[in-house]
Amino acid sequence: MPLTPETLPRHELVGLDCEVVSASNPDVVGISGTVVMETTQMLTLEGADRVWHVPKDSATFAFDLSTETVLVDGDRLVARPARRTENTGDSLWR
Amino acid sequence: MRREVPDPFPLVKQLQGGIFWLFTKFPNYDLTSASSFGRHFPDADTVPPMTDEATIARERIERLQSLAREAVQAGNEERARSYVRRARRVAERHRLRLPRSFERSTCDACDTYLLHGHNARSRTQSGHVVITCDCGSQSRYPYD
Ligand SMILES: [Zn+2]
Repeated sequence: MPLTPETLPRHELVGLDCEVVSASNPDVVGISGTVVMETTQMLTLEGADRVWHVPKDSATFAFDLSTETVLVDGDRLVARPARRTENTGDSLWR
Repeated sequence: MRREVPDPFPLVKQLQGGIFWLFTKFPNYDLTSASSFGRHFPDADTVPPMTDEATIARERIERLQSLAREAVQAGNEERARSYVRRARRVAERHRLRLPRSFERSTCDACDTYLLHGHNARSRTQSGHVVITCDCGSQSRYPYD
């Protein structure tokens, strides 16, 4: 089960190329770079000349996979990085 | 003098009696299963299939290992440390054993990724190899 659009929100984001498509803060829209660090609330993107810290919440990210681009709502990524992979506790019925 | 003690929970008894009555009336009716009270769940078609989280966790560990190696090669050792710590944490959460190559190429003391020529010295001795990290801690493993 390699990195696919379905598994992306559970997979490792560090190392992927990413662009901020929309956000509540207009200043961060359009930022693109490689994800170098992840915290519960933030993604750290490294561009050509600087590093940005973008809040996951209230932003939409476009991740470049080798074959396609995946749009992910930032709300789905708000979790402790090591716990994002776990299935426990994200039943759709609650 | 004796007095009748009033029943503090008359309603409970009535309810219990009612449920008992239900059982006697419909002995095959399954009261414990939620499904017998109607559908509580959305359509199974709308629910994405559960992915095998252990597989994803193993892939994450592999990716973080190669990312840590690249970070050390690029001279960004602090970033490599955070990747190694993240990989260890993922393995811990999913009760996975770390690959042997991961165990041998990371420092137990400072969590950096050990790369010969960058931040580690390797010396062969009789029967085993000694790896010395730049932080000073040593680890040994046998020839195999
Ligand atoms: Zn060390």
